[in-house]
Amino acid sequence: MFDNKKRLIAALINAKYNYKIGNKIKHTNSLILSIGILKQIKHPKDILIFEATCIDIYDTNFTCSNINKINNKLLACSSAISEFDLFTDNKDMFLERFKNSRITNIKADGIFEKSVKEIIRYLGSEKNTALIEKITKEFFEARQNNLRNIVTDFTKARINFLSKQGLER
Amino acid sequence: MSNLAEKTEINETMTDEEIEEIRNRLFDKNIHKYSPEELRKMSGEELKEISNFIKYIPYDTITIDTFVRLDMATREELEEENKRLIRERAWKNV
Repeated sequence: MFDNKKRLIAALINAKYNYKIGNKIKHTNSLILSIGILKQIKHPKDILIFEATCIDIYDTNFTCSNINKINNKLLACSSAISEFDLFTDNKDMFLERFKNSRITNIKADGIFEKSVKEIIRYLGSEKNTALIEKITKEFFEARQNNLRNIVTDFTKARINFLSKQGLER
Repeated sequence: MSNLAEKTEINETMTDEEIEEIRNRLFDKNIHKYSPEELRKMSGEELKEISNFIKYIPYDTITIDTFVRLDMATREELEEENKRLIRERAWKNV
C-alpha cells in the first residue's frame, strides 16, 4: 500500500544516510530516484503531501538546528492542504469565508497561494545556499516546479469560481 | 543476515537498524548498481520498475511517524502491514 509515498520516503532516507556518510554517488542516485517519483505526481494534494514529506525527512538537518524553520514550512503545507480541501469539497463555505474577509480583489493571493509561495521562496533560498551539490539543487528545483504548477492552476480555478459568483471586486 | 532471518521466524518485529540494513542492502543491489548517468536516462516507468523492491521493506519508525503525521495511514494499519512483511520476509526474494 501507499507505493509511491513509501518509495519517496525510502529514497529520501537512503539519500540522507549516504550524504551523512559522504557517499556522493549513492546520495545522487537516491535523489535522482526521488526526483523521478516527484515528477510522476500530478494531483495538487499529493504534491503538497509529497512536499511535506521532503521537508520533514530530507530538509531537517542532522543536528535539528533548523527545526523551527522546518515546522513553519510544514505548517504552510498543512494550511495549503486545508485550503485546497475546502475549495474542493465545500465551495459554499469557501465562498462565505471570502465574502466575510477583508479581501476586495479576487485576484489577490488567498491562503493557498500565500502558503505555497512561502514554500517556493524557502526552496529558492535553500537552493541558493553556498556549496550545495548540483543534484540537491535539481531536487529543490523539481519541488519548486511542482508547486508553481499547482499554484497557477489553483489561482485560475479560484478566480474563475469567484467571478461566476459575481464577486469581481 | 543469517541471525536476522532467524529472528524473523521467532517474532514479527524488527529494530529500525535491522530495517535500515535491509533497505541499504536493497538500494545497493537495485539502485546503486547503476551510475547516476544511467539513472538519469531512465523514464519514470523504468525508475518505478527498479524501485519496486521498496514495497517489500518493513516500515521503520521514521516512515511510520511520517505516514501517521501526514494522515496517510493509521499506526495500527502500518504495524499490521509490517507484521505481514516481516512474517513473510517479503524482501527475501527481491
